[in-house]
Amino acid sequence: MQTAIPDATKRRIKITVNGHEYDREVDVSTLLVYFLRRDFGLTGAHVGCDTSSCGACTVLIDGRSAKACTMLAVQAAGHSLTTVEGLAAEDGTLHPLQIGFWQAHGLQCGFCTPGMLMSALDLLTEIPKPNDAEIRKAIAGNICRCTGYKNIVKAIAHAAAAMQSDVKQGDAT
Amino acid sequence: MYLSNFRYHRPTSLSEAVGLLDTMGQDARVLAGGQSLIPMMKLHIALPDDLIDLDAIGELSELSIEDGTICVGAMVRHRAFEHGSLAASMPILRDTVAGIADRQVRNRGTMCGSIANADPGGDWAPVLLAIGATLDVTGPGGQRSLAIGDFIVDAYTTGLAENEILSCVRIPIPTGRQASGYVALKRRTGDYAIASAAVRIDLDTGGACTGAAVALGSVATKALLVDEATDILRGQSPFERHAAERLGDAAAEACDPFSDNHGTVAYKRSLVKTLVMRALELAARRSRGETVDANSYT
Repeated sequence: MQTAIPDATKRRIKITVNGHEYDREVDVSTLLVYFLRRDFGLTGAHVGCDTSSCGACTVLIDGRSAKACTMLAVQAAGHSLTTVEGLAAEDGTLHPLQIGFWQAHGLQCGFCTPGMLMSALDLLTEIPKPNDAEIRKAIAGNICRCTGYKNIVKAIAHAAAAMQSDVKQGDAT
Repeated sequence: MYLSNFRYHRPTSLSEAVGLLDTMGQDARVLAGGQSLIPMMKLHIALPDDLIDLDAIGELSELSIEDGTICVGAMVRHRAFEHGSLAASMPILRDTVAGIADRQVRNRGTMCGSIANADPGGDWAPVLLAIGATLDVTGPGGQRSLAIGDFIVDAYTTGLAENEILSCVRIPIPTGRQASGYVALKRRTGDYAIASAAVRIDLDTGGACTGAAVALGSVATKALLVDEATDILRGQSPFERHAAERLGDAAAEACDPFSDNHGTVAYKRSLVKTLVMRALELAARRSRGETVDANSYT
């Protein structure tokens, strides 16, 4: 997948970000969150605590949530990343989760929102219709300092219900 | 936060990884899920010269069943034990992962990485002690097998040589009637347990114990077994209150906790007794076919 550069402090990596393939050289000590923000301009992955606690940097790696502050960019070599910027369709149509957060007032200041959305997406891939306890457990690694958890839980449930009815409509046609 | 400089290596086979480790020596570290190592490197607590990432070694992501054991490769993530048939057949594995950090960390972190890190507060060590896991350790000269109790030497100290990698954990699949449970007290998501207890019971057809193992976490510099477990429970029903009390007392005596902001030594010994009795009840109820969630015991 990649070629080692003799000094081994830089590497050339192939990586898929939001469906597009890239070939980039990266300093091996660069954390994934800074790589996404600086090299790709994808500033949706936020640097909150930078100590694996707050989850504001959450992205998906091969469809599973991870904290981009607790990973080296080189560890993502050969893998597929999804950031919050990859959530809406190319034509701008919002993802049901984004609509859910909008409709159910799932954000106040919005700083934690990208991480919340990505954690919720990981949850809904595994459990399409989660109960409130499952939603709360799924976002346990995401901190909202506005403490608006109640509406975040509602927003995720809203999205789950919308995605379920989409599936049902799809079945009917 | 900025990491200090290091060289990064991405071998594609276990033998290549071991060869690199053998060449690099003691200032090299092996990277699996990185959920402890990367934070330690960010804090400059760990300062490896060389980092050997196991991510590209396909065989290490395998979770398979071989010769009556569940083989957990070095890159198998915690989340593998959260759902599915394995979690249903050995619910103690689900008890364990359900309390490990948060979803994102469980998606990245690995059982082998946790064991090799040997944090005294880690959840896997007491569980693997109670269910009698063995570990495959691979070095330049080949592979050897170690019992989990021999692998964990002390806090952050294992039986791994400088040029060896923990490549696989082997969990024996129960052949007779056996049940187990793990209960940990954690104040918040992401905390290490204040104390934890794993209990395994082996039963005869009449429902009496023929053997038992009790292991404790977070209450000494390493996870430890309570030696008297089998003697106390042999011939007894696991529901027998008096035996459960004696088991709890033996565990409270066996542990060696220190006093901190979570509680005094006396509090922690008392907590250990309670957790052991709860883990025993969890195992006992499972032994008669009940589906019980460990969360209801903390």
